[in-house]
Amino acid sequence: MEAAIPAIQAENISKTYSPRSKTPVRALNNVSFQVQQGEIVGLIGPNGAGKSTLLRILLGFLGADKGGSASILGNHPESLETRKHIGYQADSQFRSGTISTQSFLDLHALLVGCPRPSEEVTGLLEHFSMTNAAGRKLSALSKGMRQKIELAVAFIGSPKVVFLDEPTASMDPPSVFELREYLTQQKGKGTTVFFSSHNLTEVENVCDRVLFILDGALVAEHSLANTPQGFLEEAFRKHLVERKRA
Amino acid sequence: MKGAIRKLFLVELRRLWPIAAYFVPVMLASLSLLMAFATGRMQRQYNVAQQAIMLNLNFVIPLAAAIFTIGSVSNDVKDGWLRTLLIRPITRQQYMVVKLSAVYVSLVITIIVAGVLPNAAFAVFFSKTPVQFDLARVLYIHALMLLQGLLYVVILLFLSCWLPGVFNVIGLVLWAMLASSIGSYIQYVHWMDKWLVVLKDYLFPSGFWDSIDAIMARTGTPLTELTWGFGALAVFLALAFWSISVIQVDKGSE
Repeated sequence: MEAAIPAIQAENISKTYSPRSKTPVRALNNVSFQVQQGEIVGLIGPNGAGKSTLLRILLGFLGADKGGSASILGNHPESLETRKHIGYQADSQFRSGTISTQSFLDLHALLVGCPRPSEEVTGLLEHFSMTNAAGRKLSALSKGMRQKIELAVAFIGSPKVVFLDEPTASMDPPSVFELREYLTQQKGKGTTVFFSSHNLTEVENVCDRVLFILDGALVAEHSLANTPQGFLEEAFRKHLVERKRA
Repeated sequence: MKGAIRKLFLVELRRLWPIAAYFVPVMLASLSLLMAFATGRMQRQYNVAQQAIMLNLNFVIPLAAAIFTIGSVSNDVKDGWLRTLLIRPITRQQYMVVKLSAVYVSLVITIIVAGVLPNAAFAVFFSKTPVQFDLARVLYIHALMLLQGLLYVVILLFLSCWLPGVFNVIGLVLWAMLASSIGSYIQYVHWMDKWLVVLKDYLFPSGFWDSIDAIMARTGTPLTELTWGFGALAVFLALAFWSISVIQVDKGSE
């Protein structure tokens, strides 16, 4: 029987910023991993470890150094076929004073090819308790509300693979609970979710597996099945100490 | 996908027209009318075609093109707008077509409001001298002016792929000034050098502008100038589309 195509595959991904300068910065170093379809995988690491760089390379926004490759559902990250099946919650700085939340979401629903864009948008706004923000301009939303809108954008069109970059960074506790519930629902539908986060408790609560990234290298991965509460914090400390010793 | 592209076009158009932007054509129209008064009263005849060139080519088109295209692509990269679009099944070329269309439609609206209407209003209501109006010539000149505007927009979009913020406009202005200075230098110092004199006309893509000059001077159909104009337009369109397909939409932040 043919093995299922991995949702995400990364092979020997390295990234060097300013490679021709006197002080090139090695942000990623030979990172390889796979995420199977239907998994929820967390990517954790300290600030500057390379999480966002890895995410952006997987999405095709940033070029990796030669020799590495990334694929999503077996396709190149920038291919249109891939784009039909992925969602991304960006930490975008886009704050338009002219576009309403509704219009922004409608646009994404149309771009992703939703058969009933208005129903899709209304459903997501309701789910994230953002119905009252529909008519407001994007620039008028608070950081937390904006983050929820970005989350709604990520899940528009029921994508097969969703990338979340610090999804709970600016959220209040009720929104975090909503997101957790939503992710569980999505997992039930077979959606693959790959998210980077600093929130270890959150990762522990929703992820099947976690990848540790330190100084641009993938240092460990752990299954979170049947692990006790606080396991991640302990593992995180351990990896940091090991890294320092090394 | 057609519906999505239409929606994207409307969103891009909306982004170009925040409330403050409504003042641009209104202010330019007021200034155009003032200029029409200042110059129109001094002439023995009010030449609509001549006045259209003065208002649009020298004033409205360069200003409006600059205002609508300042950092158009580079700002979309910087604030993440381009990333949020490209995560969808839309090509970079489709984005460029939509961007170009939205900017150009905004420019045409501004030309009509700030260039064409004040000229027509002065000719119809305020001119104390006879009005010279040759419909064919006026239409021909306006078509060429729209092409010159399109050329500006395309060049500015191309530059905006590579230069941050306002630098695309600064780049174009510097280029125009440099081309003009070098042109003058060649004309006065190297006027005997046949090749240099021929080349000076090609230092800046001004084919459509030169065509208008030729039409006003009634020197026949300006084939060379039109070829230069369309050639430059094709080259910069190609450069703009090539640029959008190769630029990194994320500079990274680690």
